[in-house]
Amino acid sequence: MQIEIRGNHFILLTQRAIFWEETQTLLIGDLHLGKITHFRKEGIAVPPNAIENNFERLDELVQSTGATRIIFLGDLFHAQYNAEWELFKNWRTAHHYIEMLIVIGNHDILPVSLFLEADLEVHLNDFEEGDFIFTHHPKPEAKSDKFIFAGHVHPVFTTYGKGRQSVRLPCFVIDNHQAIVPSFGVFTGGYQMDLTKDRKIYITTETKVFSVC
Amino acid sequence: MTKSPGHTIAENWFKSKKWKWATFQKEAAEAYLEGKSGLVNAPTGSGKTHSLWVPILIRHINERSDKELKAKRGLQVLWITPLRALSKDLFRNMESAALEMNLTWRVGIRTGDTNTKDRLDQKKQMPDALIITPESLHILFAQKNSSEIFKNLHTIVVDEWHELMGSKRGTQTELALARLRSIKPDLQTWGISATIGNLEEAKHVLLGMKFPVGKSAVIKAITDKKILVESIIPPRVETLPWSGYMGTRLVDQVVEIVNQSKTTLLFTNTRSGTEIWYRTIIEKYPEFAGIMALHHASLDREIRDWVEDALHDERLKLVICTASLDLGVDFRPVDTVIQVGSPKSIARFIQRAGRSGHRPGVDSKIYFCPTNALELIEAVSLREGVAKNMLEDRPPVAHAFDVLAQWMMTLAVGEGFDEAQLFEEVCDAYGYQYLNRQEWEWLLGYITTGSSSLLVYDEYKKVERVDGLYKVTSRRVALRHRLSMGTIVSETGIKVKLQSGKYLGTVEESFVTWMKPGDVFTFAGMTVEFVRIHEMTVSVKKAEGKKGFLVRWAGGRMPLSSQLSAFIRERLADAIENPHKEKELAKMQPLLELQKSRSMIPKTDELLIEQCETREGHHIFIFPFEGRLVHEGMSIILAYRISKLTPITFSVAMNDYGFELLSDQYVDFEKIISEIDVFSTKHLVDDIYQSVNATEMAKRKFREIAAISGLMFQGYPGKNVKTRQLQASSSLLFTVMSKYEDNNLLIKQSYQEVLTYQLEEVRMRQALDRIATQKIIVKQTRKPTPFSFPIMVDRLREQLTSEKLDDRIQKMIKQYSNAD
Repeated sequence: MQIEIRGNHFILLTQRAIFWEETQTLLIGDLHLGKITHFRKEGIAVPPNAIENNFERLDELVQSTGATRIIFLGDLFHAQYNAEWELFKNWRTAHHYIEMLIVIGNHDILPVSLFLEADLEVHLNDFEEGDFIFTHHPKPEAKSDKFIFAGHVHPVFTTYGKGRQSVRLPCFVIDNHQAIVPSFGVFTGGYQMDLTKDRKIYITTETKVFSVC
Repeated sequence: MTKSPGHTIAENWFKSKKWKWATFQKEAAEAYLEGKSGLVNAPTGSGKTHSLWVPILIRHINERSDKELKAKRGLQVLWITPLRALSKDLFRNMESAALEMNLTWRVGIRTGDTNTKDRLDQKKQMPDALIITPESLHILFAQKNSSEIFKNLHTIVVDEWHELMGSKRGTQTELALARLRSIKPDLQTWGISATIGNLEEAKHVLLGMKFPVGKSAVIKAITDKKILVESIIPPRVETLPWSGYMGTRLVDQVVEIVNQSKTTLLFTNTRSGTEIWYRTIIEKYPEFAGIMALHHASLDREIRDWVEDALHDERLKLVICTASLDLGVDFRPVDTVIQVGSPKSIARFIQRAGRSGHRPGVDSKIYFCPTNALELIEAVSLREGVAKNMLEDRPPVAHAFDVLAQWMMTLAVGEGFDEAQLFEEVCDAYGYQYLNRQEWEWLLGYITTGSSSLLVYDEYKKVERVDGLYKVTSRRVALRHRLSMGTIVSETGIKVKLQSGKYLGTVEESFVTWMKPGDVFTFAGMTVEFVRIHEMTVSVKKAEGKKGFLVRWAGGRMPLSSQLSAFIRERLADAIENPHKEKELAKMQPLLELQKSRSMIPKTDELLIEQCETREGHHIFIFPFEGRLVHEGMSIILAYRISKLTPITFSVAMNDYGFELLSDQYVDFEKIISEIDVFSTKHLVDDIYQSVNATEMAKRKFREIAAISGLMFQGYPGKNVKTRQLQASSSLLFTVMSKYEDNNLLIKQSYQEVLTYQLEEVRMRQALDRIATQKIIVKQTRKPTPFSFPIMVDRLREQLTSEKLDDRIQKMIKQYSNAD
């Protein structure tokens, strides 16, 4: 589903990311790489096979969009260094032709040097470009007339239907000054969002993005 | 039997107390002193403690003269109790008997309440007899010197075994017993149980698979105590609502009964129920202030202790309680019990009735207070069940891999275990008799490599193999395990504290999230105002005179037992044919007339199906009167079978009388049953599996399993923030584990639990067979009926769909745009 913001065109992807057409940029939030291994190191037996899924989906996303740049909207890596970082570095090397940026999220406690070493452009706070601000934490209100892209929340939305039906799905939350992307990582939970007057919600299944109201 | 010195002392002791050494107590003593193990079946207040404690003391006295044994000291007797609250009373009874027989035996208590000093003392020198909870017993096994502790143990008594057995705490006890039997092969094990349907099985579960039957016994106490059941009937049936509520409309009649009695216990089925009743009575009868109290599991321990003491001392006229007072010390002053709402099982009803009239020669009296009109039928059925003494079984838990995984960790944290030996031990436990090597190896993999393969090596860290033993070497892993042991899983409790500092109890996180300062709610019988929340504690101040919210706690719903369901089916038929046989049924006539005029009342050979349309959608109600458990399974199987015919989504709800399939589409049910047999028992097992897969039932079961098996770390006490990086919801874990790991036993267990406890095949087959003999009558009704209304308003629902997700979403979001 394509939407227009400040004269630019953004595609909301079923893969739970946004593609910015004018700059061929992918916006990806909350991968939480390393989370599975972090749990395993602490004796919580999350299946290691799930780790691959994040990279498979990243590959697929890069291929299908032909993106030349990725902006990670924070929480790229979940905790302290573990072996999953090496997997990420391999993936990064395989995609050396893509420019990658990260705005640091609250979970990104790895030393900045590691990000730099992996050839990521690091932004400790916001990254601004043109009419847009890219950041991790959503901002409660607009600071300037610039539009914000953020992550952090892991938004999900429950739609209700006749016959007391309901379905809970990841969603994009977009209002006048800001867009929040769903979390990308395979091992991430969701936070329930409400529909409000000045907010649009786009829910996504694996095959289609729907605009609610 | 020749009189031993111990016998003489015991006899004199009974004489000095002016007590009779009851027949069952003597039988138990004889069996015990012959070296047998077994079960004593006796109600609370009958002297069941002494039935085993006295022979244990006799044995001690007789062995005392034996010089060789004199050197042996330390822990000799374990007395397992399900309730911490019981331990003090047990202690008093046991210690005073020992003292009065001039024995220098030390009795100790070990529960979650035991303080650090006492624990350290016990570490140095164990008392001769220790009163302990199953959880604390497991904690002893997590110590490095556990086999040393149990070296001289010769007897274990498990109190209230019927209560433990049906739960995972029972499984926990079974595992500990299996290990103790392997450390001490001569161990004598005794259980004390109230009457249940499967006493022999209860004994088998307690003693394990290999125990020789000839060395065991079941001793029954014969009681001639009568139980009188009376229903509280409203003057007009219209006083009672069709569904729900708390029965508070009958408050005047209830208070009248309370006033005629000395001390009354009023049981409600939910914690919120106690709060509502408390508030209702205090508003209408303010004179009850000071002589009425509340008792439920979310109240602070201190408050509950105070209530229990006050009950003993006859300072209270009325205590409103939940199952929290089902067990435990007998409160002698109690002469009346009132049960509000369906007790769902005859055994529970009898147990509650037994809380009154403990004095010899006094009968127990219980009043049943219906909360809705249909429960009047239950009143009649309960009376019949009590008269016929139809007691339900307590089925023991089987194949609880989560409890076993926790146990393996516990032993690894303690002295470590040899896997071959432990496997054999565990298979001796009744709940694991069918455990196979393949499952065992998966569990070993789970705790060592964190996967089904023993070969995976990454950074997973939990249990290691050291010199052939499975052991935990990391102190952090050990600490985390000790903090998360146990099988009782509750929602995160938020403490409620008065600003003055007094703790009132706990509420659930979900209740607090939508509170804001100034909001008023009723808790612990007090009206309080929300001040602020800080570090998992809610500060409140008293706000008398204001009306506020009621605290709600999530809680399972008890299903009606099949015994009681059968009675209800018969009584309903009676209600039509012999309306004046019972006064309750006569009272119900106006309601039944309404049911008849809007739809019909099915005879025993008829199955009623009602269809109607409301603004919610198209409803199908089916009334097999088989109890919630059967309806749960039948509803999703029917939904599944119909959804195979056409793309459709159902949300289903049920109660003990029937169930509902609700959809946004009309279903021509008459046409469907003329074409296919939706109630067929063919492919039943297959359809059960398929329909469970199509719902989220297993995912919900996984919550408890994940917590018990150590997948959810609740955090270190007082350090909530530091563990946030280790928090994942059980539903996320469930999704990832089912998707990325084949044959995960814990996932399998969650399906198995649904199949065992919610969709049991045998029960369902019986019900379907019965339906096959019935005439199906489909009624289209213009309005919901007295039968259907209570189901319709239930919000707890399961969904089952055969529609494409995208199609469903399309339909749903259309309504959002229409609404604008």
